[in-house]
This record gives sequence, structure tokens and C-alpha cells, in this order.
Amino acid sequence: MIELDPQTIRLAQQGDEDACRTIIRELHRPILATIYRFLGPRFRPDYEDIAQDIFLKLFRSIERFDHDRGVKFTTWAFTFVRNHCFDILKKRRITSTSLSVGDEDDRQWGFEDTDTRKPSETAENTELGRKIEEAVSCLGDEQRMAFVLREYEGLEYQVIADVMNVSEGTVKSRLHRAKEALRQRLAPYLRTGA
Amino acid sequence: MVDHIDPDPNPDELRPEERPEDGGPREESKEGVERDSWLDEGYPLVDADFVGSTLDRVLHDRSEIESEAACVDQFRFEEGFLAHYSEPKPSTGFVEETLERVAAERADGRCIRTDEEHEFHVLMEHAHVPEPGADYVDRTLSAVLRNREEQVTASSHTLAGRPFSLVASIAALVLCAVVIFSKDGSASVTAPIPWGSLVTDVEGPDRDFVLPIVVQHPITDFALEVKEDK
Repeated sequence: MIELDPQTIRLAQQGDEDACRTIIRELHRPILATIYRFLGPRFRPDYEDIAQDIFLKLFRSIERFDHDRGVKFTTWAFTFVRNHCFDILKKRRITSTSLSVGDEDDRQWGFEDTDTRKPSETAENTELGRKIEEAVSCLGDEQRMAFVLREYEGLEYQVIADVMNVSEGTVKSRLHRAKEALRQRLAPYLRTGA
Repeated sequence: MVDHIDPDPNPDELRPEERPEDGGPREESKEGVERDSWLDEGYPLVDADFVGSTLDRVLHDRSEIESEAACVDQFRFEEGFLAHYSEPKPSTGFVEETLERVAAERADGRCIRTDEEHEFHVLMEHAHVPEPGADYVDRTLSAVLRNREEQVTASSHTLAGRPFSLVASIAALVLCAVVIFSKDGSASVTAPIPWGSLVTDVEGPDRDFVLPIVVQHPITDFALEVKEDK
């Protein structure tokens, strides 16, 4: 997991532009990737804007980050990712339940259909990639977040527990359930079989 | 005659059990046992099994989590399998664009923060609450006692004043009757008015009783003055 130099964070807290650039440069890939995989295809057109909003929130509160408390900056940053993503899903659900037709929801938010993705994007995601994407999208929010942070970003169980504000045991339990569900869904594509 | 019912009784005059601070008037149950009315509504008691069954479920859930957590590494995806679900590369200008937005917001934020700070100080000046004086408690207590004494005095005056107001009302009614029932609208005599001139229908020995009332200004003069004005 990426860990930033405390001096860089201190400078960023004082408003140093280079320090802020370093933080964005170091964290933008994992943050974008987490948003991309966690929120799924529906939010794909906006995922960079969402990431920028998260960075804005993070820098708004950076003065409150205390390195001496023993929390890693990356852990702290991923907490913003988790909370922002959950807020987005919550808002979307409130809107979608107030509308009778699902398509109207999509039009209101400006979502595009999965098939309207850029050709390069589609090429990158192979057939198997799309199957994995579908299977991951079917997981519950908490399971999906735990799975993405662990399997794609390689975060330790305790770090995920801190990000999600649950116990380490709960994280492991969620991961077990997530993997079990994915194993069943992706059984035809697994060599070891279900 | 129905006694006057005071709509706002003095709490000191009420019996202890009738005072609002004691929970207001109490009802007597059929059995004659006095008890608070709000207790009659009651709330359903928690079923004794509820606590036990909830605890069982919590413990079961915990043990389930523990057993699942132990199996977290039981299944592993093949090396590179999940990598098929790759993320796209970020836009080339993403870092700089984000930095610009952060810098812009920070610049705006300073202005907003300053304004907010000023507004806050102004607000605090308006909302300033003076500290109570050292003798606040003593002054309040003496004011309360004084007010209470005044209330007691006023209530005694009211009791003494009732007969007086009754007499005054009767006198006023009699005076009005003198003016209304005087013959030809003129009770203008300066001499005492004979009772018979007021109540003509009454017959009997008291008919010539002289009412000791004297009207100072003749009404006819008043009427003439009005006519002259026109």
C-alpha cells in the first residue's frame, strides 16, 4: 500500500502546492480504480469527477489529519472514498425509489448505458472482464467495498476495517461471503471449478 | 345560587394533591385507591423471552461471523484472474485539473472563511448575554416574596369590595331610572322628586314617599341649548 511521507502531508496542510500535487499523483490511481470498480458501469462517465470531488473533500479536511494518532494517511484518504461512494449510492437509491420508471432515473442523472462506453474501454475489458464486472456489481455494497479494497488495492484487513469502521472479523466475514458469491457466479470461468 | 368558580385558582389555596406540580388532580379508581391517571395507560412490558432470544441471535451472529472470518483464505482466485477486470487509465490532465480545483477552492475558502468569521463576531456581539449580578438571587427572591404579599392583599380587598360595588350599581340604576321615567322628559326640578312621579302604577300608602335624590341640572335647559346650537 502506498504511504506518503509525513513531511509532504505537513506541507500540504500548510497549503504547499507541490505537496498537494504529490498527494494527488500518488493517490489518484487507487482512488479512481476503487471508484470505477465499486460504483460500477452506471457511474462510469462521471467517475473522474467523483474522484475529484473526493480530493476536494480530502483537502478541505487535511488540516484535521493528525499523523501522531497512528492512522496512515492512505487509510484516512480511503475513508473519504468509502463515505463519498456510499453517499452517492444512497442518493441514487432515494431518487430511484421516488420514481416509478427506472429509465427515468438514469436519464435524470445522465447515466449512459454500459454499451455506450468508449471503444478502447470496451476493448480493455474482455469478455471475462465483463463477466467479473457483472458478478462484482451483484455483490452487496459492504461486501463489494471490502472485496475491491482487498483484492484489487491489496489493503490489509485491519486497514479495511478502519476504513469501513467495523471489526477485522467482520471484514473477513464479508470477504468470505463475497468470494463465495463470486465463485458461484464465475464457476464456468474458473479452472479449479466451483 | 351557584358559587363563583375561579378559573385560575391560586395554587396555594389548593390541596397538596391538586397542585399541578404534584401531577394535577388525581382520579380515584373504582376500588377507591388513589393513583396517577397516566399510569392507567401503561406500556407493554418486554417479554422475558425477548431478551433471551435477542441475545441468542446476537451470539449466533457473532459465532457465524467468526467462523466465516476463519475461512477467508479458504478460497483464492487464480493468479491474474481478477486482473481481467481492469480499470481504464486516468485522463492525462487529471492530476493538474484536480490540483486547479483544489487551489481554486482553497482561494475561495479563505474569503468565505474570513466573511464567516466576521459574521460570527457580529452575531456574537448581538447575542451577548450579560452576566447576572452577584445579588441576582437575593433580588429575585425578594421580588417573588413581595409579589406574593401583594397577591394576598389584593385577594382580601376583593372580598371587602364586593358589597360596595353592589350598592354602587343599585344607586346608578336608580339614577338612570330618575332620568328616564321623569314626566315630559324633564326631571329638572331642584326640589326632591316625589316617588309617585317615578312609579305611577304603584298604588298604596307609600306612593308619596320622597326619594332623596336631587338632579342638579334641568334636562330641558340642556335640550334648549341643543336646539339653539342648530
